[in-house]
Amino acid sequence: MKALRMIASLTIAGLLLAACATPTPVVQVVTQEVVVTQQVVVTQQVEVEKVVEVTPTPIGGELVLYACLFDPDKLEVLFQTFKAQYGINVTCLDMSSGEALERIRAEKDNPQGDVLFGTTNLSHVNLAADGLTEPYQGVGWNLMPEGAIKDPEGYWTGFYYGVIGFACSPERLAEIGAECPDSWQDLLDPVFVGEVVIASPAASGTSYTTLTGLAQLYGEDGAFEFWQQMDANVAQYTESGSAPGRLAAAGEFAVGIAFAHDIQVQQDSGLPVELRFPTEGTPFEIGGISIIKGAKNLTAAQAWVDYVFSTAFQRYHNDVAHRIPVVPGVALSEGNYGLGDVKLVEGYDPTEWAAKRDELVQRWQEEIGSKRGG
Amino acid sequence: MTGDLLALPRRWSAIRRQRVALVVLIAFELGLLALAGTQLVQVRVVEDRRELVGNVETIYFRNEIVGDPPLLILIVLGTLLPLASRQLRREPVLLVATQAAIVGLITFVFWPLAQVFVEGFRAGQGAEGFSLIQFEKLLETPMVARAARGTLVIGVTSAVLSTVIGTLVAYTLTLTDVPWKRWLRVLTTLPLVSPPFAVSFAVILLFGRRGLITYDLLGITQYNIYGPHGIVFVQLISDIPLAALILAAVFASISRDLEEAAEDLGGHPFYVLRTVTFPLVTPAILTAVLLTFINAIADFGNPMLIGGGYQVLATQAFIQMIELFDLQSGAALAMLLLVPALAAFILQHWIANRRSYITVTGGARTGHIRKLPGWIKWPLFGLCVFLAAFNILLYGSIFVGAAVKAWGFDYTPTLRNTYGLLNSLPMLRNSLIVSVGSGLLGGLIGILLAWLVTRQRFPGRGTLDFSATLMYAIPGTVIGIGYIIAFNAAPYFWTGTFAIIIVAYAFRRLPVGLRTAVAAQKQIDPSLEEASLDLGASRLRTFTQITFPLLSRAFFAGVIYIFIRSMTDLSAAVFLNAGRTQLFTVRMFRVMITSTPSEAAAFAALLIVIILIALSVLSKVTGKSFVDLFRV
Repeated sequence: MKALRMIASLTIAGLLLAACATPTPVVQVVTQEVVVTQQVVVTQQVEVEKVVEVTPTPIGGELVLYACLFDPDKLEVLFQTFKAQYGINVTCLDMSSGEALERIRAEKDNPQGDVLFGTTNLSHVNLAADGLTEPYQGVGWNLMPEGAIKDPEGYWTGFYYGVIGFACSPERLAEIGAECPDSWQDLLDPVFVGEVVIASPAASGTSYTTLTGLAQLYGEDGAFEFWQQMDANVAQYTESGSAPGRLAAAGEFAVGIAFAHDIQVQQDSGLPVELRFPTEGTPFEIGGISIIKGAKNLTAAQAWVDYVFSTAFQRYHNDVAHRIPVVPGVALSEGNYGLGDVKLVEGYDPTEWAAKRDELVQRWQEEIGSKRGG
Repeated sequence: MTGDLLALPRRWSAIRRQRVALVVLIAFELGLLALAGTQLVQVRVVEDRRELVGNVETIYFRNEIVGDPPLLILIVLGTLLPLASRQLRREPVLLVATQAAIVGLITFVFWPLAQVFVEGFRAGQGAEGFSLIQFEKLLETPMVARAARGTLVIGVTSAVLSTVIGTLVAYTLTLTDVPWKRWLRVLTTLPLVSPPFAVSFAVILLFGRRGLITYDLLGITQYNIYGPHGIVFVQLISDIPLAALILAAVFASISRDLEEAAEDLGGHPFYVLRTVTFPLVTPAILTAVLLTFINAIADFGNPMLIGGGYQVLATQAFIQMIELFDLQSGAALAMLLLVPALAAFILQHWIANRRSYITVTGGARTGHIRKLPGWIKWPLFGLCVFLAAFNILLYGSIFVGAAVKAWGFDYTPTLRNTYGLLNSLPMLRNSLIVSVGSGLLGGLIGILLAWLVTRQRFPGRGTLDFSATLMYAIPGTVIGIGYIIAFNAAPYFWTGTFAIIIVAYAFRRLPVGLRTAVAAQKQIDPSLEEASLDLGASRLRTFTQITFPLLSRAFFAGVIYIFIRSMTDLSAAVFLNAGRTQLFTVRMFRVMITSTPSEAAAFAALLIVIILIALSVLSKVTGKSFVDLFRV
């Protein structure tokens, strides 16, 4: 009897627990008044010299960076310096830019990352448009001139440039009896039949940069006409933007079209690969940085955004990652190119082309991608 | 008569105790379900709109349901269904085990796959209702039509060729008297220790434009390995061992008596082969075709490395999900992959079940050597030697490549390539955590299910068995996409946790763990368990103290097998790992795509060494030889 009573009480407890824990699945509109006093935003004016020294103030805490596109191990030096100055522990998560965007979207109620660090400004433009980033007019924003390099309201700021280049394999060129191409038109030479490697614009942002650069240069129709002619020489369209550089460096194909910084990484590892830029003009990307809306470590995030514009950061980033600095007066490392060393496509603004992506990729697939055998 | 009368009250009290126990159990389960309910379905207050009047801002909130009410309903049904069986009601332990198995299969097999379909029929992110727009979009994209054709071409060609060659290899190494059989068996099995994309990579090291064979040895500069021929070639190298293993097991068990009887009745050896031997191995051949077909269509690492732009559905799904993160097109593509895989699975089941292939085993002479004329035997032997030599070359090139400065240009020995590896140790740790975790979980579920399906009788047993085996017909790409869709939404952000990867691998390799455990369970005499029950031990106690210890070998075999498969997986890993949980194979694949051959070779070499260590442990545990380990 005693046992029965105990069991009964246990059962009731269980049922009560069940009743409490079950949510009421009713959609209802609850209005709740929350009074928020308006904040006055004080814009800090920072005097800018040729060398940018960001005065560090110890803040402490954590900082989570999304999308370490570049080898996070090599950035470790920067994180350590930053930690020494600000007392902030930096975690940089390695993921593709598409994944970073999707994660930021998915986590918008409960952001896990603080800063979207790197990736082309197209991602930053899209995030700002969706209201997923927070404006910050810090050291870098104030330093950059008006124009393509920054968002007018400070939602994102560009902190490096990347330019498209040709990677040439000297050995392969010797075998087919050709010279490393110097211009877009050189790529049409029949000597390069089956020797040019470029990523598919449908799969890679790098190649979309190339496509839009050509469109700026030759007009949209002209660009497709050019690409159709070049298609005869293309050995393969890779899925990855950096693979063409790797394939040329490995001596598999004569010419690979990729970002110069990806080609230089191959040079660093001792592979014989030559880097050239097209004389008609080369397309470029602007690598941006923005703060994720609702970032848990806002002060640390702002400190990091300021830090990436310091001369020390910009020089190291150029030294190991070969990204072109945006801060004027930063000395380039040996063997690196600056914006002065290449001819950029005139009037090209990567931000403007962002909106046409779907349309141009669709056209590319119809006119070029789908025409290939296999 | 008196004994019965005396026993009656005792039985009554026993029945009452049973009933009370059942009620307590059900109450407890309801509590658990309610707790699960709060996790699966949540009401969240979200911001509706803001209004600014003067300097006072009013924020309006509304309630919103997040989560998956249908999953909760299914889980509740899965828990209640076994209660309908009177036998299960009498056995609380069996009841809980069955409920756990059903709920597990619903949540981690059925639900992710169903989500692939739901998402594939959705118009766009978060859109309601049924729509065919994704398929219209896909059909309008010429790339997809090409990719679908490409997938079928690659899948059918590699499945047929690897099964044919695998059958020949298995026949030669099991039933003929060629020399060096022991070594040939090990060497022809070698590619199973590495993921196919590592084979791709090694093939480029050998046959690329700077390849050791094409360039350094033969001086050929015009050969191009990139293309569909490259994909099929690599798929063959990876899948011939798989087909050979499946067939070898069957060849070894065929009774010689049947063939001899046929020969005694005057049958010509070829006639016997065609009418007796071949029909007996038909189910195994079908299994081999099915598995190699699924492997070939699921793989995107291999086409991306060596395909030279040749389009297959798996690479398209990779681009949509990883590069562009378009969940709906990814799901639609996954469905296109799932359909042929399921069709192949059902076809294989149908053909295999049409006839009975049981041969009398008790005392029959098996594995008898067949005398073959020299003109058949030696070419077969040549084929095996060629495969073995090729595999040595392949894996040799990975290890040499890892130790030189720049493959193809500078063969000076160096340790430089290991630096990149040292930096990737966290990913290696992640892979080890995931693989050990999924091994243990998968092994445990395998044992539990095996015990349920071999020792217990209850309604729905067949369905349980079928759903557990279904997973092996699902391409890894589809599993990855399904899990993302099912578990990435609010309220559970499972992507980026180890748990999701561990669960995915455990259920994905469940058929293997199950098969191993069933085989072992059948070896154990039921009288051992019955004796324990008769002596008054509960079923739970019998399982933990009698059955499980007897099955421990099978358990560890399952664990290590799942460990190896998880360590080398790429097709599901690439979708499931994120940020802090990045896995070693995914890192390795990235390095192969972007970095130098020598650095990538170092990654492959380390992975192979780890797998070989795991294999030798497995070999110690099970007392089986290296080759037999893969025979599952």
